[in-house]
Formats: sequence, structure tokens, C-alpha cells
Amino acid sequence: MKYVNYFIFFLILVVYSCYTNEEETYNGTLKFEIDHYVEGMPLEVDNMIYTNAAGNSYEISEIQWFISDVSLVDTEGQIQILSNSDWIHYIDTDLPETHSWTIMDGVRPGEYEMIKFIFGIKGEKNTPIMFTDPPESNMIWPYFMGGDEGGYHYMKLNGFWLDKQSQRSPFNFHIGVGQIYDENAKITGFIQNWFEVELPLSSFTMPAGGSVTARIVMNVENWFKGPNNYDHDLFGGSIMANQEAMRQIRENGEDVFSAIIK
Amino acid sequence: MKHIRFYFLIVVIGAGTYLGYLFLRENTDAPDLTMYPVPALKFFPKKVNIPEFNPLTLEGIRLGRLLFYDGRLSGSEDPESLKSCASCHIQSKGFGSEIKVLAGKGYPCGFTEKGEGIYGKNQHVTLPLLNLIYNSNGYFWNGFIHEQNGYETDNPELGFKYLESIVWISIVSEQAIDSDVEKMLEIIGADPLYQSRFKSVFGDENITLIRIVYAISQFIRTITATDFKFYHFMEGSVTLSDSEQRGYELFYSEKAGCFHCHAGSMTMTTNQYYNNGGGGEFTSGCDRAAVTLNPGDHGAYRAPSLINCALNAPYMHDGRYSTLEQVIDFYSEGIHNSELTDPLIKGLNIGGIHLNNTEKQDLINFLHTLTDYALLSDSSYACPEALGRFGIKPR
Repeated sequence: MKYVNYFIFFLILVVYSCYTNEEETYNGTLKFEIDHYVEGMPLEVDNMIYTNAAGNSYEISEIQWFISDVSLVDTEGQIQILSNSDWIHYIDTDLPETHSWTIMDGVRPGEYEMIKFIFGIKGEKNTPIMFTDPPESNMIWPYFMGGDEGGYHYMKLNGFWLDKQSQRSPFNFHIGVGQIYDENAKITGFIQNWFEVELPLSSFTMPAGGSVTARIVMNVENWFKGPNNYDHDLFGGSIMANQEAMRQIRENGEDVFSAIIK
Repeated sequence: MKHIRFYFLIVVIGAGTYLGYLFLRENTDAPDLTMYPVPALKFFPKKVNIPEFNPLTLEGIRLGRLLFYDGRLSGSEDPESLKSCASCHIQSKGFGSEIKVLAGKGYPCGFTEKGEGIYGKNQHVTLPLLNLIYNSNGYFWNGFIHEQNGYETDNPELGFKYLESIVWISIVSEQAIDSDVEKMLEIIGADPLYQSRFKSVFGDENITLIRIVYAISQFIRTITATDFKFYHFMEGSVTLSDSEQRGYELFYSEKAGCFHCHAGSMTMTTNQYYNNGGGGEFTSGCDRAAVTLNPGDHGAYRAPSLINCALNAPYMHDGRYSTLEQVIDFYSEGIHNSELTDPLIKGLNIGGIHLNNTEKQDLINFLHTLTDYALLSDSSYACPEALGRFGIKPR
């Protein structure tokens, strides 16, 4: 019988503890959703239906990538970082559960001018073998090709293109830390290829205690154009050791992302 | 204020949990068990695959080890009929098997067409029972055994979802131990060796097939290979030979690209499924497509862990290669291009990556750095002496 009394007392405490007041719901909830589009339509994988700016016909098998350091810029230019300093999120076209996440009660109410994030992972956070659990661990970037600040791919975009001989050839459009090679093909240094994205048209108002959904769209065709027409015939299928290819991808990447605020 | 309430809630829940624990302890016959501390190893996954219904305990693992080696699992004490898990999963082979296939009888591979059951016509190589605690992406070559599997079975308690399901299949199926379960329970139940042990693990001396399955599964989850040269190289405590170093760089290079499927953490596998350009007509019915029902997955199989690969011939899901040299030759010159080959496979349009002889040898030497020699003779995994003549000893 004494346990029944304890149990009732426990229930009362739990109900009391869970009671919330207005102060606690003052901040807003921001939900992020990720979509992958090609030329305005949702990505259709494993189908050779796309043509890039260089004229290569191509298909995409999967896209796996990291977004990190998401932040908000308010109307006075102040930046509000939305998560812990080590915050990194993995996205995989094959894993729907990676396509959304929510910042619970973490956003001050008010006007925001812009959403910003890092495509990939900043060097100081990209520590080798920091991820030991899949799927993140499967993004490993070889240590001798990335050093102490190049532990993981920023993105693996895999697929096929029709090469000059009209053969269906695989491409591994992989971007991470680039290498500097000497005349003997020895690595003498590394180049960080992550970049900051300032999402256009991403202003919004967060009501007190309200919620906002921000859809981030990766417009895949833009990886292959503006300012560089990326040509698979020129770079071939594998580019992890090709900094020139990754430089072009990095430059093209600045207008790959767009936002829709709901 | 918000934080105060949060901490208050934590304290209240903690107190409630403790009260619940006291209540349960006072009102049940639950045995006093010692939880097995899963080693936290650098570079190995933190996430481990231990189902809530079968936590690892030292007592359960000890019992499981006895049963794993007990030839009477077959349901017979006749020396000619003794058979257990250890009959195929041999410690000196890293708990892999030297048996290419279970001769002539097929092998459970996830054949899902109605009327065929799980025992398809196609035969597959036995995968080693190694580091399974780190795998949460299905078992078998095609991942047929997985937690979302809704396939009907005459064992509804386990279905085809867990490692426990595989142990159960292996005991009852004629393709494996082919146990006479009733006789087996009678024999095991009459042996004083087991009576107190079952009580210490499960609270009473009742010996059932499901309890045997649980205990063996606990032991299997502790079989880990984590002590090999490449691991210590990554830790910084040893160096590789020149050839091993070249092999390592080739393994992780864009030219060979092995690491895209066989790395990730130090388990040396992504535990994903790939069509690796092995060719054929993809009609086995036991490939990844049998699980996903996606035609694009025909010809795809698990990328197995390369830890102890030097001990685990034959290779590939169908055992088509008997040496590592043959495997390297395949990736070098034997790749078949098809509509379904994975884009991560290098040299797809030119038959492979075309390594010279030195590169091939370097790669093989690197693969040998993945052998955990300590495991092969570790007495804590060996056949317990207490089993006497019924223990399945190394051949």
C-alpha cells in the first residue's frame, strides 16, 4: 500500500512539473525542411533525364551532404546562432528522416532578415573520425587527403553521365578538403572548400510562442553552372584529388540554395 | 524559471524511477544480474545493437558461450551427431567459416517469394559472427533480417527481425544445426551444468528454446575484433611497412576507392548494399532487391567488413573467389558494367582500375593489417572445458 501512496505523490509532482506558463512559450519554434530539386521539379533519381549547362546528359543516384552552423541575422545585423557550436546535420536523399529538424523554443520573437549556414563543415570542426556511427561516419574523407581539418566529405553526389563516347559513366561528385601537390605528386598542403550560404528571400517574422517552417531547397542543376560550366567530360568521374574541380563546385555552390518560408 | 522547472522534473523522474525499481525488486523473482559493460573503443561505433528485450549480462553471456559450443544443440549425445554454432563459426577463422556453402541444401538468404520460404535455391557464403554489435543495418548478405521485416514466420515472437531470429533459424533449420528441439531441451535440461545457470540468468530453471536463443545471441554480440595493426596505426602506436602504407593510401584513394564501401568507422564496412559489378543476370532472388522490392537493387549485396578478411575465404556472396589475390584481380580487371552497377565502383567502363603487380601486392599487404590475431586464440571466446566431450572443439 505504501507504494500506491508513493505513486500518487509521484504523479502529482510530474503533472506539476510539466505545467508551463507563458514565459516558457515566449520563444518560437523554427522547423527546417530540405528538398532537392532539378530545374524546378523534385529530384528524380536513377533516371537519365537531365542535361547540365556543359551539355552532359546525367542522372543522379543519391546526394549525401552536411549542413552546419545555421544562424539567423536580425534587422540590426545581429547574428543568432541556432544551435551548439559543434552543430552539424547530415542529409541523405535516401533517408527521409534526415530531411527535417526542429529548433524547439529556440528563436527569439521578432523580425529576421536572413538565414545563413555553412555548406559542409568548417575546418576546425571537421576532425577526423569524430563520427563513429553511420550514416555520418560513412562520409569519411581520407586522412592523408584532408589532414587534421578534413575528416569528412562535405557532399557526395553520385550518378552517371553520358560521356563523349555516349557511354554511361559513373561520376562521384565529391567535395571536401582539397590538396596542394608538388611536382612529384606529393601533398604539401590543404585547401578548405566549405563555404557560407546566405539564403536569398529568407526573411521572416517569428511570433512570440509561434512557429515558422523554412524549406531549404538544393537546386541541383546549379552545381554545374554559374560562374563555371562544370563539364564531366573534362574532370572525369572522380574528383577528390582534383582541387580545380572542387574550386569550381565551391564557386557554383553559392547560388545552389534557395528558401521558402511558411 | 524554466531551468528550475526542468531540473525539478529531472529530480522527480529520477525519484519515481527509483521507487519503481524498489517496487519491482520487492515483488519479482528477477535474478540479480551484472550488466556487461560494452567496451567504448576509439574509432568504433558508439551506437550498439542490443535489443531491449535481451540486454547483455555477464551471466547470460557465460551461459551463451556454453550453448554456442555445446554439440548437443543438435538434440543428440551421439558423438557423430554433435552440432552447434561452433561447427561452422570457427574461432580460429575469426568466427567465420571455411565452408563455402551448406552443401546442396541452400542457405537462408531472404528469399521472399511466396511458396519458397526463406530458404532459397541459391547458396551463399557464411558471414563471420564478428562485430555484429556494431551493425544496425540488417543481417545476411541482403539485409533480409531487419527490425522492420514483417514477413510471416512460425516464430512470431522473433520474426525475422533480430540476431536472435538468426540463432533460432540456425538451431531449427535442416540447413544448419537441424535440431530435434524436444530432445535437445530434454538433454540440456537434465545436465546439472545448466540448471543453476538458467536460474541465474532467467530467474528459474525452466529451459526453453527461446531462452537458449537469447543466451547464445548475448554471447555472439560480445564477439568483437578490434585489435589489429591498422587500428593501432590509426591510434598512432605502430607504423606500417612501406608496402602496407602504399596499400593503405591506395585503399583510401580515388583510384581504387575501396574506402567508400569498406570504411566509415573502424568496422571497415558501411554495412550498406552495393552492386559491385560482379556481372551475371541478377536472377538470384536473394539479392538486396528481394528485401527492398526495388528492381534497381538487383545484384546488390552487403559490403562485408574487411576485418579478418584474410581468414574468411571464400569471397563474395557466392564464394566465387578463393583468395584475396583473385578478389583484387576482379576489381583490377574483372568489373562488369551494367545498368545496375553502383556508381562508386571505379573503372566501370574499362573493366576495372587496372593495378600493376606492386599495387596489387600493396593492397593485399594492407588487408592483412586488418587481421585480429588475438581474437583467434582468446580463451574468453573458446570452447569451455566444462562441456567435456560435448564441446565442439577447433578442427
